[in-house]
Amino acid sequence: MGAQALQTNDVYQINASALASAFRGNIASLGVPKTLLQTRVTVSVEGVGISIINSRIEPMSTGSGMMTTSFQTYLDQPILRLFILRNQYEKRVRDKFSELMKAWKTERSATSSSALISMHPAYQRIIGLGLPAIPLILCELGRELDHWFWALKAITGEDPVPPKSRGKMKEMAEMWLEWGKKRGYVR
Amino acid sequence: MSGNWPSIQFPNLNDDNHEIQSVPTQEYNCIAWAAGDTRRWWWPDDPKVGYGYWPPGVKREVSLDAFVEAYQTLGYEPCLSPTLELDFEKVALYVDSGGIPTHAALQLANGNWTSKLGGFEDIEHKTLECLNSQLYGESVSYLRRRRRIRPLA
Repeated sequence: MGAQALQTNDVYQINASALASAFRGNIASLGVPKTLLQTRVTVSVEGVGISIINSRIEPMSTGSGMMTTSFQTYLDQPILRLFILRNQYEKRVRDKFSELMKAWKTERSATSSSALISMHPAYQRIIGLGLPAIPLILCELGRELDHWFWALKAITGEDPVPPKSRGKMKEMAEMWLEWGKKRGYVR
Repeated sequence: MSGNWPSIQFPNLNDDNHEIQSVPTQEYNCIAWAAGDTRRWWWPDDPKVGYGYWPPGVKREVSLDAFVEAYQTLGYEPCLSPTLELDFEKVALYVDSGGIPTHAALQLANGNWTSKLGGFEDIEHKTLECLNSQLYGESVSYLRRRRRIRPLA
């Protein structure tokens, strides 16, 4: 397969921090020649930039939009392709989550039933997003207290809330956020 | 003044029969509010997936019996009517057309009622009928306990 270059403003989105984290800052495993790595290379996709300097990938605050042809050659490396696909998927999950959350919040009734709140079709579809939704739910829970506990339990199969804290919304939120930090879902 | 709840859900509410008393909050619901608890969300959901508080020892099911039992843990006893009795505070329980409990309202000393509308605002409403609706149904069961001074919020 020939090189399949990323293009500026392409549908791909690279989360530079995640990329650096995924490769632990070292792209030696990608097989990029050392000579190339000694040159500053910038990849900018949808405004997210990464720099590769001396074998280390670093996120940049702004991307220049410049990509060298020689680096493009390596963008079809299986591991990098996988990373790009994962990021495409995460972006789709983020977009879908935002859409469903908006529907759930705007269509909610004045019910007091936690079961009814959680049975809203949009809420159930958020549960259907599975584990990729967890960091998004926790981020949202940290921003605004709401009824995310059913989804968190359903998706993870875990419950960090002891029986004595049931119903205490603020306390439950804090416990789930703490759980998320320990599991690496919350930074 | 209109609240944040979908007004279509309470066709009997109008500017003359209710007043908004709080900002919206997800911290507590109507069942908790009528019980004098503003720190927990009360609901007898399935503990495997749910997260609601329910008084220990009370059967954890969405039935009128279970809701009456829940308020009995606070000293309430069933009574015949929602009519104001100065020495008593009263709770009214609403059920939907299927007999499923949906809502609780607490009577104030002036004879009006106070309700928390799900995760939306608390309101003071003049009658129980103000909240009759497809969502809440209507009040069918009443409980009372001797009035004692306690903060409402």
